[in-house]
Amino acid sequence: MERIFSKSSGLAGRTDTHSETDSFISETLYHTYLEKLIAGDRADCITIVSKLMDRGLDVRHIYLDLFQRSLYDAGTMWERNEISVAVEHLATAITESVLTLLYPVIFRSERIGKKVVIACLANEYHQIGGKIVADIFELNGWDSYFLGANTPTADLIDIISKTEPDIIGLSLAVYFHIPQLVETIEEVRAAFPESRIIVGGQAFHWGGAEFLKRYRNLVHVTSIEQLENQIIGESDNV
Amino acid sequence: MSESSLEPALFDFIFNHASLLVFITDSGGTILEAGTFAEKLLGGNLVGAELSDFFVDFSSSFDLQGALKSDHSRLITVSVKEGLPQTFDFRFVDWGEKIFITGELTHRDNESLRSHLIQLNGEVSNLNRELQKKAVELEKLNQLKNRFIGITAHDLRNPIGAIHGFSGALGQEAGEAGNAEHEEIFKAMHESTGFMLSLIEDLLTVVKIDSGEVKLNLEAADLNLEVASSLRLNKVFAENKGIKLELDQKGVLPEIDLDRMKIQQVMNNLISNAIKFSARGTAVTVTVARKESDALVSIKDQGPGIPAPELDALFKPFYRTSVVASGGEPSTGLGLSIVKKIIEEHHGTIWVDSEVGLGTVFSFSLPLSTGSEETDG
Repeated sequence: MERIFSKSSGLAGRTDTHSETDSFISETLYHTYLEKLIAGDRADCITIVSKLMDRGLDVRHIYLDLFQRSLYDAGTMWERNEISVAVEHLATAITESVLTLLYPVIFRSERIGKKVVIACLANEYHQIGGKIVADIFELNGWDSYFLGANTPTADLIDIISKTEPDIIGLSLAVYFHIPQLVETIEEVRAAFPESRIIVGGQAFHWGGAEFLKRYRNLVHVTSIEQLENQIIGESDNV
Repeated sequence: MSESSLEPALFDFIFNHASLLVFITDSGGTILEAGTFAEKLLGGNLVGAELSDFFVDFSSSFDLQGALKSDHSRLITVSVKEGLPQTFDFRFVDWGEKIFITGELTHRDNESLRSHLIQLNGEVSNLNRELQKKAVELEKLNQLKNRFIGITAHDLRNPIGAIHGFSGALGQEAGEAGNAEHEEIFKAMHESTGFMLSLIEDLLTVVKIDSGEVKLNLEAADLNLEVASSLRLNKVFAENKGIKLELDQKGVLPEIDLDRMKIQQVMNNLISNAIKFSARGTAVTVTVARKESDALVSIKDQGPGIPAPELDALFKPFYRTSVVASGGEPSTGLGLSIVKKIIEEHHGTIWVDSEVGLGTVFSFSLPLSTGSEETDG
């Protein structure tokens, strides 16, 4: 399965420079998109993405070099008090809306008979990272079941029982929710001892993921490139 | 800053720079002074206005004295110059003959509202994702269905065609040999297989159109001539049933881009249907006219008519009307859906009008300005 990446920005890593020659999306266009996103101009963001799709740009580039990069930049701007949390939330909401433009392409990928369940933990309301991960699985032919934000563990276990996925993905955005993550992993493993789990999210941006190594069949995913490597490895076992 | 200069500076800050509604009113609630933030939000010069006029409140009047007596602040929704009304946390302080009033934005309410809206947006986008996923799955199933029907129909065509041919030949031989019983049997076989072949052809056409495999072969043509040609082909069928087939061409039409074979298919289907459902001694009238920028063709019969509740479903695949053909001729139920698709591929429209006991009119329009640049042909 072919991978097409210009560079890996990663779910946890951020790059500070993007040259015109490295990216399939020009710096000028990216900054125009970011400006519209921060200004809350949903219509213009949709127009920019629509034009990129008309141009035939690989959707992976749109995910990595536009959505992921702009969300990280918005997050940085909030951390630096350059924008309010309201603006940052609006940027996330607009990105969720714009993602729908890519679905007709993503869901048309040839199915390979593998399934994944992705959920944000209970009380976790930042769902866009988990959704992007679910979309990347779909792009690679997997059937994804994205359960969304604030998924109670009991509901997660119920869905796992019904769908029998090959991989379970847990998304965590808030560092202080790590104890809940541990509880969730323990409960899932108690119900499904041989389950394969991936864990990721902004909660681990500044570290703190070492404890995950004590679980077998559990991978901490730090970038979309690593995720695709993981998926391709799983897919080749079809 | 000295104490003597602190108070005026503080007062100036609160009145002119703070994001706080500030009013000084008389004991009746008439505004004597208003802060800059209040003037910007509520609009214009507020001096002389009644403060309660800006309160969005369904009670009959605002109890200012009651508010003064209370130790608690009060949430009041205020009508603002631009946008939706906003809720402020008001405090009222008795200041001798005047009342000092402040209104603070209730961040908790705004935060709560925003977080609910963000959650709602997330749920809606999740539902949208599921919907799009299901739509693609349905499209794939539809393509699978079309492929299955296409393969099955294709594979059946040859053996049924062979039976059709042999039964016709054997029926003829039996007739020539004077064997009436065998002749009847082979005739029945021939008619049944003929119907099955029609059904197979129609199925293959529907599947091809649905899969986007049918491309129009457009050429400039005279619609009047095409319609006249179709009437000639159906004349014998009409005469055999004692039905008069008439053509009414109202003037010359410019040449338009048509797939002549497909338009013939449309005309044959509509005319043969009209004949099928007409009784002996009645007439089927085909009219061709120009209506503004369209060519209009209508096929009118004097048959039994179609009940109104059935009209909407007529163009759906496999739909068969409750009305029986006057000669008992069978129908595949696919003809009108094929006709509709062909007309729509030509950027035209088709519709039906009918009245029980009086007859039915099938009409379609084709744009006169259809150019080859508008089609995929």
